[in-house]
Amino acid sequence: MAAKINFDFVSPESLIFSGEVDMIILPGKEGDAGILPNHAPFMTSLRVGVVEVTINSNIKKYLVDGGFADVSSEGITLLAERSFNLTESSSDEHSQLLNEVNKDLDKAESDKEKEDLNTKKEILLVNKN
Amino acid sequence: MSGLKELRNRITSVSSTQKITRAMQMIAATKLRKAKEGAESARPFSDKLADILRNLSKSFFGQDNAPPLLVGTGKDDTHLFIIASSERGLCGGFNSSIVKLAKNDALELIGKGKEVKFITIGKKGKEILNREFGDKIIMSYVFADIKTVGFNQADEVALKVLELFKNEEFDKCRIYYAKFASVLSQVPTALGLIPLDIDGSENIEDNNDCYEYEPDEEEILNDILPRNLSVQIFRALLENVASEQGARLTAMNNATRNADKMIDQLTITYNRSRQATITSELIEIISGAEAL
Repeated sequence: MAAKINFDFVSPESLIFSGEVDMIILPGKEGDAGILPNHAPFMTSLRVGVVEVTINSNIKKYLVDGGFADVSSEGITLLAERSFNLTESSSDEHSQLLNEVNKDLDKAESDKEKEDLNTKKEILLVNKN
Repeated sequence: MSGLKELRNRITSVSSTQKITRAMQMIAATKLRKAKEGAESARPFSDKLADILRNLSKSFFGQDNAPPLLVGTGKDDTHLFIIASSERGLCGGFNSSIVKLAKNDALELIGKGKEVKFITIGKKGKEILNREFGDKIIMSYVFADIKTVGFNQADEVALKVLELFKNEEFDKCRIYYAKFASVLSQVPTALGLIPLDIDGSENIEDNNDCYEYEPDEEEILNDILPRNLSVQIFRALLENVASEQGARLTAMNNATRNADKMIDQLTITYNRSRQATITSELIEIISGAEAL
């Protein structure tokens, strides 16, 4: 098996994921970035989008509400305040979040907020399991 | 005889108080464990964020174009104090020691002709501050109906602070909370949020990694600073929760022990006076019998 890369996914409340992975695709602010082992040191802020983690050809998907990724020689650290596990969540949790997003969408005022929430909604609809 | 009955009543009331304090002590112990776990799981995030900030901000300090959230507005006229306190009492000197620290700082600043504003988190801090600075409290948050403080609450406070900062309602901001040193000691602490206190700036390790930034450093910094505010507030709140339970544990432990002592004393007095009554009754009977 090819080289692996250390990946830590943390939120302010807990450590969501920690372990060795094969590849990660990050929704960077200026475009998606795929990170493979031995990547050059790199830091980016994230937009609302999906983080794809590949472990032994299994793919895990997380919805993030923006955040930061820090790629260094030791591995990748992903900081996201709010995230949602798209692959391993039940359909109840899924529809609950979708409801919340819809509610927020009604309240949203600025265009930026609306845009972000719409992206979120689309991601949720596309990734329905 | 009435003395005896009174004593008995007092013993019962003290022991039922003791039951309550003992129960509260045990609850505080469990809650403390949970609060400590919470504080620990928050640590990786805020540590990492601090690392990134430290790396990024090195190049910005002392420059004119540094973001105001990092270095402040340059003025020093209005200070905003965020006071984190507890929702419930019976936790010893916990709340009063936090408020005392803030009050001293506030009075010093007011003495210098500066203006001070307060945001309180928690019911108790507000109650204590109301007496002296009631008119200076611009906002107070009460999270009494929330079981465990989550990131959302911290975010709510941070958004408000950012809004106030944008409207130029204050120049500097500090948060007051009790740092959890151990179960026995909680240290009231003031942490600068705006401008930011970056701790451990002396041991910046020279990171040889040549980073690539996307978007550029300034934009990332501007993105990270508001988030950092929420995270710092969240961390302070978590520490505060742990400290509160620690303070309550100690206070209730003392109360239980005091109650024990009191019961012992009361029991001795009770037995003595009971003995005295019996003796005097006996004397009466005996002297009555002798008189016959």
